[in-house]
Amino acid sequence: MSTLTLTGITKRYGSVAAVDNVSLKVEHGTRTAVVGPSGSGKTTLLRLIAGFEPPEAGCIAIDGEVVADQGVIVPAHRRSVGVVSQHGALFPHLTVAGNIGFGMGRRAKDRDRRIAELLDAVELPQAMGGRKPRDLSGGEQQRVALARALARRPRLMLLDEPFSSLDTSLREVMRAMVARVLDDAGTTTVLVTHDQAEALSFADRVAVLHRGQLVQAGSPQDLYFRPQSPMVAAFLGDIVALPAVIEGDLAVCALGSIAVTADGRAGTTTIFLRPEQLRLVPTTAVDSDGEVIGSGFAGPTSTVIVSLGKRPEPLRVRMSSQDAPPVGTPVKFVVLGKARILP
Amino acid sequence: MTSFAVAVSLLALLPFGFIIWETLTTGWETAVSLIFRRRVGELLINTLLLEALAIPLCCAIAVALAWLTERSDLPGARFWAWLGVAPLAVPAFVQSYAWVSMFPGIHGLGGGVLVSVVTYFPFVYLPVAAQLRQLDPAIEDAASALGLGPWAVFFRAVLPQLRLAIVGGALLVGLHLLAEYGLFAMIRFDTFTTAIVDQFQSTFNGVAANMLADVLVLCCLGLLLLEGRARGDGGYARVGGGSARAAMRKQLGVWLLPALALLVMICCLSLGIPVITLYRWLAAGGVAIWDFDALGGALGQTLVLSLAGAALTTLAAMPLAWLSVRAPGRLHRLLEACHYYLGALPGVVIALALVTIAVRVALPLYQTAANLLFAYVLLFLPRALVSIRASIAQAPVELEWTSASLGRSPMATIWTVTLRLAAPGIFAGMALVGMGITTELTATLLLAPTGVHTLATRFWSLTSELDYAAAAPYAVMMVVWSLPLTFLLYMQSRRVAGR
Repeated sequence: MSTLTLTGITKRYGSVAAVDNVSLKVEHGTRTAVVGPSGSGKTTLLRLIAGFEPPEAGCIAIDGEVVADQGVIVPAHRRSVGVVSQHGALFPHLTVAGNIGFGMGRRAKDRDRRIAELLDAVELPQAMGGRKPRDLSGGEQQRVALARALARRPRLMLLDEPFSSLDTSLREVMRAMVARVLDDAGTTTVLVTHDQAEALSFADRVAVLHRGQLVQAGSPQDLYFRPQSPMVAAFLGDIVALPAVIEGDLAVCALGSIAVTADGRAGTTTIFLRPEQLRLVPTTAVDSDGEVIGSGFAGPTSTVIVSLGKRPEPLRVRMSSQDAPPVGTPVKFVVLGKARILP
Repeated sequence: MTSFAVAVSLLALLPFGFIIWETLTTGWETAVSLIFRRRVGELLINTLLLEALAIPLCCAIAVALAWLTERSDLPGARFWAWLGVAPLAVPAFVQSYAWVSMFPGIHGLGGGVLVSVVTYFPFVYLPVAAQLRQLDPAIEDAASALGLGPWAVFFRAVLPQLRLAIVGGALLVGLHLLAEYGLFAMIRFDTFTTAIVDQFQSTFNGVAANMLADVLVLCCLGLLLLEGRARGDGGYARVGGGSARAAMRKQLGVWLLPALALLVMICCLSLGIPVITLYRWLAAGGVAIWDFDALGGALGQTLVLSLAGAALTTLAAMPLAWLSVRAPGRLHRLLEACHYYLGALPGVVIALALVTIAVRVALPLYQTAANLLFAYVLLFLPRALVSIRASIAQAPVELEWTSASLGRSPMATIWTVTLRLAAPGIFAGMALVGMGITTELTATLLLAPTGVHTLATRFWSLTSELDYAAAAPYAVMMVVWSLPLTFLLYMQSRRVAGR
């Protein structure tokens, strides 16, 4: 059963449509990432679901209950939707325990026990319960915000870029922790982020938002390997785009004849590869596809720039620094897997 | 909420509307004959000279003091910072009472400038010191890396960044100079405000006083325009994220002694003279001057008036402050701008308008506490607005949303989150207004009902009878009362700077 159903949601600010006719279903117990460049309307969408703002058109239903439709607006405090925002938004006048217990009701019988459980769940020491938010690090604040949102056992959890203010090393630890905690609680989750790697690794389903419109939704693999638009292809990862002529299952291009998923198409078109599909092999001048003209060292990996004889633009290939051929080496490309036609 | 805010703003516009109405109905010839005369010319020259001399002096002293306390290795910098703010605890007319007692010959422009500078320089010192604490030292580092010497760094990299603070403080000083009555009356230096009060008290000549008020209002407007010009359009935002590193303190070296001498001199002039004078009068007067009935009566009435005034002002300011934080729009900007300009109206103009309106339109209001309280609300509304707005901004709307997502209803959210977080600031704003009322003299003199005596008016009538000794206890009480206010202002300025 779907926990969240959005049908034709639209929200305008002035003449700009921040969210434009978006429809989306989120299945019970799953994690969905809404990803898009900044200004694509993803935070607005989240605010509409949370009930902080009403949509102009469209219908929002949670667990089958309509919470926003023409004339019906259930206010945020009656939706039972948890929210964790970018900076945590902890109440500065309350302790950590006070924050976690904020939504519980002051005289709930098992209040103290629940707070202790939640502190455990987000891997914070019990002693932290008495501290004030200002004494906590960014990561600890996010953990408290998550525990606070979970305390009410929400039907739906909304995460608004909760990891983006943390530094890179902490981000992955937090991501894994949050995923585990939400799985344990069986909470349906919608994550909003501009970080494609985060979206692909965190979610079961990814929805790409662009200029307020939902351009594609599907499993992470589906979106990464089978994008339906150049925008999605380029947004979810680096691409190498090449003009090619399709002949059956082969594409003839600057890299020679390579395997392609043609889906019945033929003739002149543009194909794309993910850079990790390319391997560089040093070779003799006669046999080569091109020559290394530059190299950017970045520790474990290097970006090798290869000029192809027939092609004006050089190709950039990221590879292990150990294998990176020096400038001037004639090289040949080995293509792993199949190229795809850029829609 | 909006309609309440609009209603408050319309009421606040009353004195201003009155001035325009008066000018229009006076008739062109009468107005010209009353405005273009020798007396007005003299007053104008007095006022301009006072502003032109006192403001730059205040700025120079304040900037020097701020740099020494914030950026040099001056021993006891924190203590000196306190002394830089402490003169605010001495009401302007008490300051000039101290000077007249010490130097009975003091009068005229020289005296006016001297006493105003020692009274008002903290108005510039506070924002400048706050700004100096906030400056990103990276800019100074960059300037020295580009080959500037220490003095050049100060004048070309630091001073320009202090511009907003200096100009803002200077405007405050300028407006106080225009509005102050007691200070200048005591040392017999005529300004528009003293002339208006004299005119009013001697002949109750409404029209003449109103025309003088016209010119005074124009002077205020001129100052505001000048400030807008001097402020420039420059924002001096920090480029890049992260918080600024604390600045290194410069070593004074051989300059230590001159610096200390300057500080000691400023403190002697601004604090030493009032302290010594009050002590001398108290010692000379002995027990005889402590008339506890009169003192207690004045204290009680002052307390009631300040509490009621503070509560009313806060109540009136609340909706407008709320709107400007939560629902900023064109209407609120208009309302805010109108309060900004009204904040520049001198107390004497407001009082004059309210007296005349009461006499002509609503006689039952004449000489009532209600009319006086209304004047207080108008006088202190802009000040209350600033602190309440800042305190509501302390409770970001994000927290209200979070509270809603955790199941609290809107009313419960306002009580348990917004007001809870804003409360300290709102109380601080109330305290500021209350203590401002305690030492308010001009409007109270003109509007207080018969039989109502505040500490300030008692003090004033005693000094007018030249009974300086008997006035001393009132002065002491006002200073003691103003100390918490001073502390509050000091703490606020530090909080603004984020420390």
